[in-house]
Amino acid sequence: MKPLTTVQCDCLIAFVFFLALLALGVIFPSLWLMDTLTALFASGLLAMSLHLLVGYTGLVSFGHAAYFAAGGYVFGMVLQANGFVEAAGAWSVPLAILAAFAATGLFALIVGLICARLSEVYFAFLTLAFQMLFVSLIQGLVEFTGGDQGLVGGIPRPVFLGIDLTESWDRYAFCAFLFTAGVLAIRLVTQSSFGYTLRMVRDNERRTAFLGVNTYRVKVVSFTIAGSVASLGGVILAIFTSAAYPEWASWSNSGEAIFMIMLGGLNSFLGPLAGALAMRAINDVTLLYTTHTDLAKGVVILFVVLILKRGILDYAIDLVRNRRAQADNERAKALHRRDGERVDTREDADAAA
Amino acid sequence: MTHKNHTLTRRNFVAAAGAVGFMSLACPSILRAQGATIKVGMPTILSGRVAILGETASVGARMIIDAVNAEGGIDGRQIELVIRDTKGKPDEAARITRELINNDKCELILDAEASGGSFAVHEVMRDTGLYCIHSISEASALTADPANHVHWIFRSGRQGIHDAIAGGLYASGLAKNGVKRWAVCSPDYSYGRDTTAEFREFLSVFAPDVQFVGETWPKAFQPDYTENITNLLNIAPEGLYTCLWGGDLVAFFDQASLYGLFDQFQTVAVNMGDAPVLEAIKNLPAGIHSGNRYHKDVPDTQANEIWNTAFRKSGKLPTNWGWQAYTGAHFVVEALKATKGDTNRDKLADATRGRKIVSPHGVDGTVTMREGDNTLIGYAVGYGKTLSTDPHLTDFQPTPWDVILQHEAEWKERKKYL
Amino acid sequence: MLNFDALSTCLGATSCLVTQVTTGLIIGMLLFLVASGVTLIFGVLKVVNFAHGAFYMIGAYTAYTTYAVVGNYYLAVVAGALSAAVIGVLFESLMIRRVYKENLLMQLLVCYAFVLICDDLVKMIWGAEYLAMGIPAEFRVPPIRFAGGVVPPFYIFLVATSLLVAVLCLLLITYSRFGKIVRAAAANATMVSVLGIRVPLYFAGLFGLGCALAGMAGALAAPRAVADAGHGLVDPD
Repeated sequence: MKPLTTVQCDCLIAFVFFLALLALGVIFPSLWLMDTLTALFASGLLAMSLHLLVGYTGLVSFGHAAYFAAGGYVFGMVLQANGFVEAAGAWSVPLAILAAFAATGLFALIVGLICARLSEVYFAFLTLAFQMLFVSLIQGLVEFTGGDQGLVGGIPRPVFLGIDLTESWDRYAFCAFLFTAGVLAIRLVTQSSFGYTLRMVRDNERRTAFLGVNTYRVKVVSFTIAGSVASLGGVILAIFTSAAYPEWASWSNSGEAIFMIMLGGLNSFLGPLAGALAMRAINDVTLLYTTHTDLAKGVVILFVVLILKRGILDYAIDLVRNRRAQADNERAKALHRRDGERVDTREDADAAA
Repeated sequence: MTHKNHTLTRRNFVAAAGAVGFMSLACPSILRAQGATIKVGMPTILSGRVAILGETASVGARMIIDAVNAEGGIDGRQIELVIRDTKGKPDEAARITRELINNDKCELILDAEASGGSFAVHEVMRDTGLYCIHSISEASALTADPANHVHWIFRSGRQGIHDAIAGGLYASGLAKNGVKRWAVCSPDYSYGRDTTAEFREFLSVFAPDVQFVGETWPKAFQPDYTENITNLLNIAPEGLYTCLWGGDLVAFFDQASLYGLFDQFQTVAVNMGDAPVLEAIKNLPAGIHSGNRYHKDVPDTQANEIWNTAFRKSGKLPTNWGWQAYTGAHFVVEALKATKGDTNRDKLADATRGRKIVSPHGVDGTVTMREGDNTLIGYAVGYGKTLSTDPHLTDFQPTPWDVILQHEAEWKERKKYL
Repeated sequence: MLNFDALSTCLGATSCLVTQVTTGLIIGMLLFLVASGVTLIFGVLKVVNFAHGAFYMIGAYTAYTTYAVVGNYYLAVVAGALSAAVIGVLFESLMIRRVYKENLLMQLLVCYAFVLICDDLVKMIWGAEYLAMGIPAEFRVPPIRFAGGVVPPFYIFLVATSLLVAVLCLLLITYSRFGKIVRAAAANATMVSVLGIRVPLYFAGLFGLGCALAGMAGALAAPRAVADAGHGLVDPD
């Protein structure tokens, strides 16, 4: 049998991952688990898409929540638009998702074109400024967005392909699908040659430019992809809450996404997801005992930063890798040293960087 | 290369799956058995600048539920109030409410969210179809707008339009004494915008000759009001209307007093009359016109006096939120008594609709859940003047309910709500 | 919202001009105190103290309690500055010192954690409800009318104090032995430590000074604002 290509392999894993999520829903048919996971899908996609910028492109965007919120708002506004559901019928939800994806992509493209020329701190603050602009836009256009009260009145979600998003199981499964698709998209980007160009830009932009790469374009494309994938997170949350709120685009939401990445691990692909999970777990476990969740969060973050000195997943991977390196060492000693066998994985190279 | 890469991904995946497993273990609440108690979920704000809202609302709701439990509960079943902090964010309110229903197995919801969050809770309750009483939100549209009408959802607190009619009527009295040029200074979000617009509408109805000469809109939780204050100094109106509230109102008053603002014109501050605000402002100017919110002398009855004393035993000062949540819990308890503990939403709704209950906060000793739009009427509404010492509010002028109801009906017609 | 008509009318009238200028000064001076603390720390230690707002909050709360107990506003301001300084030194030597060499995001994370912890501790000690200190009795006087404009005496005091502190800080950094050592250490810490000076001690001191400025600003502003937990992180707007 021919060995699978990377792309096929990733797709297969994604498929298995999706099945596992479905199985989880079947094995534990608790509404709480499904709701928690759905909320996690949303914040996970926000963090994972931001990771494409922070971890792979070296762009620290402080305004990523704007694209997340834009996804939710476009999705909701399209479906609430007069006559849309009647006209599109069973296709309204997929069309609305497509619209959210495309519109947010365009929005991110425009912001990216303006911001990508700037370096580090200026980039961070300009993206933040665009986010704040977006928030005031939402709050200003009361007729369309409901202002600070949010997009209320319920988002109509007609049945399509036999999927009824008002049913909790269907909703969970569909959100799991969207989530998996988003994560797979990011995975494919990071594993493509374009993904390696991103890492080069991150590690040494000037040198990359000398190699003839248009780094500006690379950054803009990366920014656009990250923005559109984040919009899927917003769509998930809009499906979940049947509404959209300006708080989704708040600066604290962007900040939280950055903290999730740092907490989970900057150097692992799934780090942000681990971070999102950890944040949620800290929150929920603390709530069993006391309402002081912030205190618990703060202490855990301090532990991670000051003691582990890297994200949780990075730490775990380093631990395993060290152990394996030790085992390798011993084997090598036993067999005498053979040359040229040690293969550094790309992830290794990433971690080293 | 490809192969290596593949294993790594799998390892990442396994780690994530393990973490999911850990989470389900770490949250024993999934496994928590459902008892024989009737669980009432209460999403409210317990942190941030508005924490006092949730804290006093909790006291109010607990007062009545503890009393019922002490008497043996509903048909021997105790009522458990599950209170959760939503941090005042609508999306958090939606999530917490779902969690209260799905995870904590609450069978009905006593919503104690401010206006923004109450709409979020409203959507969740519409979606999940459980019985719900909004106790805090004063946004008129929540129950008056037919688009929001859901027959199993009620409101047990003030409706903005009632206060607006009372305020307009009271301010028109000032206008007769020469206060013709008005300015407004209200918070820049929907509560502030809507409440102010309603006040303006009714002041113009009752005193057509008044003029609105300026407006200034501070942001939510703004730390500095100097800009708004100097703006008002420039406008130099004869009357000022503000619906700032809580900590924002305290900060605004402290800063405005420095400029001697309140010596220069009449001020109507609808939310001034709550005990924590009145007692937090250290140098309260006398003669500010305020709505009653909750006041121990309004209505001036023995029952209200007793309620006031009982509330203060909690260590908190009684607030408008306190009596509203109390009233909400009261309706919940009465409805449960009527259905003998059955939490079926339609049965509870039938037991609530049109019900009149004995209440220390009603003008005639009762309040009624009006049929038709599921909102509360008959509670004490009116305006008075502040005093710098106890009892802090004097010259109280109650607004008769027949006047309120008549103008409310006209307003609904104008809004095409009927 | 821009209102050019109002602007031109205002520019034409002295009364309006006086009021607006003093208003700008008072907001500006308090911001200046906070900002100069951040700059002082960033300039020398090359670390952005994202948790600066927490020290403002600590200053305000300490001032509130001191004022409630002692009844003296000036003492309350001093107490506010001191408490912020002490906690600042602790924060530097226990946490920030370990991430000087790390990247910006790690520093941000430490500050964020500190803010979260501070917010919750404040909530535990003072409760989550807002607290109002009230204008001190000595400043409860009618505003001064000057060229038709209105200026509250309390604000004159605030501006003057802020200016005085700013000048003192400048002198301290420029002329004092402490200032000279700190500046030298900023340029080349190793060389300074070779000269037998305990650089970490000076860095902690400088960090404390920066925090004291924030605490003082919080304490100074306490009478005109309500104190509430949860505003620790520097607001981006």
